[in-house]
Amino acid sequence: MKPTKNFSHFALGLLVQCLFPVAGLLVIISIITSWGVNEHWGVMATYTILTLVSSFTPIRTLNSPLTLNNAVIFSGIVLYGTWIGVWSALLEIIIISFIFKSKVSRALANSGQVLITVWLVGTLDQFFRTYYPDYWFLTDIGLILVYWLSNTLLAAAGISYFREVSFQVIIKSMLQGGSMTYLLLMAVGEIGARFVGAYEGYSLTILLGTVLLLRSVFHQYFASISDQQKKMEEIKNLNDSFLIALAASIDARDPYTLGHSFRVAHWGRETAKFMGLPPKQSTEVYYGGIIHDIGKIGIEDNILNKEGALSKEEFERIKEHPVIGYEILKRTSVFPELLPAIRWHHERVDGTGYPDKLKGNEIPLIARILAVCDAFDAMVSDRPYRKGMSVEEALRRIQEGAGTQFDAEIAANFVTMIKSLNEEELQKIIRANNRNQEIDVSLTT
Amino acid sequence: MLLDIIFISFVVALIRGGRIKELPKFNKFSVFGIAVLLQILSALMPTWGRVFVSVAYLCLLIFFYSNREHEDIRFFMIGWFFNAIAIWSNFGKMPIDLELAKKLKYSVDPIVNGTDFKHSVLDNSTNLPFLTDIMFMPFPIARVISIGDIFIMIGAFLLVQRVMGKPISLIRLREGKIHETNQEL
Repeated sequence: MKPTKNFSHFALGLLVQCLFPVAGLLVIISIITSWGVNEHWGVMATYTILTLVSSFTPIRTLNSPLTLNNAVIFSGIVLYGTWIGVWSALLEIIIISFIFKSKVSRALANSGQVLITVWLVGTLDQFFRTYYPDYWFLTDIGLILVYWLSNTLLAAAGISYFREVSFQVIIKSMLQGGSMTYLLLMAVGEIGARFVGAYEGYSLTILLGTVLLLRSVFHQYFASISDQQKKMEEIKNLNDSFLIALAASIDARDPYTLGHSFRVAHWGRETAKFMGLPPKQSTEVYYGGIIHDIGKIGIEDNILNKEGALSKEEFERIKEHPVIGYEILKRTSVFPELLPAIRWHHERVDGTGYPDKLKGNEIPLIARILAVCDAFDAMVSDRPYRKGMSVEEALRRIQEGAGTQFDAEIAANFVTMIKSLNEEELQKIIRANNRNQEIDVSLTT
Repeated sequence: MLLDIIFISFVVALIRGGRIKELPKFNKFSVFGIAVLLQILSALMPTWGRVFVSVAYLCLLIFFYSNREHEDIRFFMIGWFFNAIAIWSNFGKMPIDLELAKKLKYSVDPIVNGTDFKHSVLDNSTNLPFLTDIMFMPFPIARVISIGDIFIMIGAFLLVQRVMGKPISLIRLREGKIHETNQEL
């Protein structure tokens, strides 16, 4: 596969880095005598100002702002010919290259790309004028489509080459990005050109007003969308910090298990990733891990913090924490997707767990993953009254429990995942006892 | 020579609430000095005018290039580059459209008889005529300008806004982020 990929990259490079600039240069050479004509200078000056204005008054779309430059270039081609389109396009490239400090190779590729499109559309326009002058309203639509298609394809080739992303991906994102807005702006350019052609320059004032209105409509529309996106983001952040605060409060009540929730969350996410679950689900497992012990809030301090063996009644009380946590979170009616993690993380696949004695796949996946991680952390972490067992011993016990206490597949994945980590990394996470350390660790892995 | 533009830019910046806090620092300011000196010399010694003006433009381009971290300077560069190409390709003088030059209150005689140190007559033999002085600008001070001059004027405006502490970023304008900058300010 690799040689073909290299070859296609090489071919693309040849097209973008050599053919584009050479074609662009040929286009300029073919029209440069038109720039020397005295009568054309007024038009060139006007289009210089038009290009400058349109370069810096973009119209917002969802993904990226669109400028009116293509509309201006197109109107020039329709009104006066290829030469003014080339002038406007070249000016835009020069302005952009200087302002954004573009690399010379990119500026050349970009100008070539645009000039090829301008030349193609200009030549087609000449052809239509000669042979089908009465159908200008149809041929104009055709020209707009050709301009859009050529510009999109050639630009996508350039972007694909420079960013080393596949051509299809670029095309797809460009088409989704705002091709309808692009076509709308081109249509505005076409209408403007025909207006001026028929009624002189003053008619442009109506068009200018329309463009300004369009701009503000678009602006309002997309501003409100991005406003909502921002609010969504804020709510998500709020949720995250709420969960983290919850987990910290659980851990604070039970000093022996300091950082336990965060470590279980971390192992849960790593296991989910290792098993190839999608990112969204891995994140869910992470947050499930963070709040899995939230029910311990409802357990009395003297039981929770008791050193030594618990009486039968006390143990029965401890076993209520999944249900208590479930009820608390259920009443808040946020994070419904995390409820299974809280209620069923002490279930066993053989049906002898608590609180509901679920069996096998009756236990939701998120709870089955967290059960393994919960047990692992409980075994390997130190307590004030005992030292944690070795990782090897804990893994052996997890393997032993596979199929009875733990889901066999998840247990196997967990063991492989832990064994794939180096000792230093592993110890760092096991010893992590607060959120900040935990986050450091998760960033490095 | 851009005094009117600079004055207007200052007024705009003042209205926008700008104040001079500190003067901007430039790299290689000496090169700028040399360019100014060469321009003065070319006025004093018209016979060497073509050489002095050409070299002055080269110095200015070097000066702008070494200060290219600022957007306004990069904008200047576009204009100066256009003008430099026009001047270099016409052997050290900027051709000017005589019809338009006659509208100004100065005498066109020095241009016609070749004693003007900076300008020559635009005719059929002129190279790249579209980059020379071909536009009549009636306001604020009547003058004949080139396409490069448009860029220089905008660059001057942007530079003054920056000096007055109210910079306008063309990059942000282009990316449609101007409203967000307002919030930050």
